[in-house]
Amino acid sequence: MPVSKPGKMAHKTGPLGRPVAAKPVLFHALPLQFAQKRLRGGGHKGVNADLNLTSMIDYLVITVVFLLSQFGTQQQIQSSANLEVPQVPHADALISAPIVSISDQAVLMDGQRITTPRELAGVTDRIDRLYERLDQAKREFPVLHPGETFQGDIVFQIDRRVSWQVIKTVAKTCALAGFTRLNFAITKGNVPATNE
Amino acid sequence: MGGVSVDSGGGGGKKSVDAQINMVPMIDLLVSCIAFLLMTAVWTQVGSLQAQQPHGAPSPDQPQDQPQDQLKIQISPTGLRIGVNATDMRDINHGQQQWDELKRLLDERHRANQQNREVWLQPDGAVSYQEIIRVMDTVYEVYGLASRNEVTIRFL
Repeated sequence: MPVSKPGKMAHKTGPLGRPVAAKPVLFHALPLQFAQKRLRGGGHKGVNADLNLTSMIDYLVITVVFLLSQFGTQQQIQSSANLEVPQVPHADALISAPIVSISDQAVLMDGQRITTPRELAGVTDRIDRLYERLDQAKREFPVLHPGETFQGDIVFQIDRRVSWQVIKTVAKTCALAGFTRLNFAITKGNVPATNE
Repeated sequence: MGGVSVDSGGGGGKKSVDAQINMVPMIDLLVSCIAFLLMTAVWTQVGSLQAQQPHGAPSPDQPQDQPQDQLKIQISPTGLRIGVNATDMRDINHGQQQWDELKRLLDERHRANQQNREVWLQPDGAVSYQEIIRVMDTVYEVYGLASRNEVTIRFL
């Protein structure tokens, strides 16, 4: 059988009008079944597989976005030091709203110090500094949440040992600023035996 | 080899705006991001208990709204009181069994009046936050979740 020179192969028109090689072509005109079998892996299933990059990158990006979204309120809730929130089994999902933290040491709003529980002892009226911050948060709500209606939600992250007297003063200030729906942050789980 | 290779040819003398991103460092970056986020993720389950409070503070000449036919729970350091009005109040002494007793009474009230989905809490100033949350949790257990409008907890 003559060996063709490498290069563009001469074609002739086939029965369906398609170009067909003028000379015999390896693996077409000469099937060479044994060679094809060997090339495919000698009868075994091939261990190599093609990976579609588009769907793989889509998957990776979606995973990154999902994990980042988990870092919203939950991360903020957990990051406060010296604060032990109660643990109870029944709860709603935590919503995204301004966070007021109350511990034995300080009252914070979105991580910024407002006052201390000791300073609140004599306060019967609103806490001015907190009121201003809440009022600002309320005014910023339509900008930060376009298309949503202001429901007056606020998240309270409170140490389990804090007395109701302190919480009441803070809650009253929140109500005066229009935040009337209190969401008490808790950790889901069975009540520890020490808290019974 | 990382980075972005910018195609400098073509475009009728202008610099092409198309760029080719090298896939290998890009996938490396995404996988590193996933590993980092997974390692630093917070796996503890956080939830919330919802309660309503009245709008603003009541003016001195205007008496505070008192719920007439709503279930009220008074929380004090010595125990709990539950009932609709003063004559109906039942005492639950502070102790190991108080939560079971509260659940039993709430369950009883809930079965007697299934239409009522509002519970008013009146904690004493000296009561700890933990106690209030335990009461709210028991209300949630008997009535259901506030987010599904199964119960509304209000503070007096």
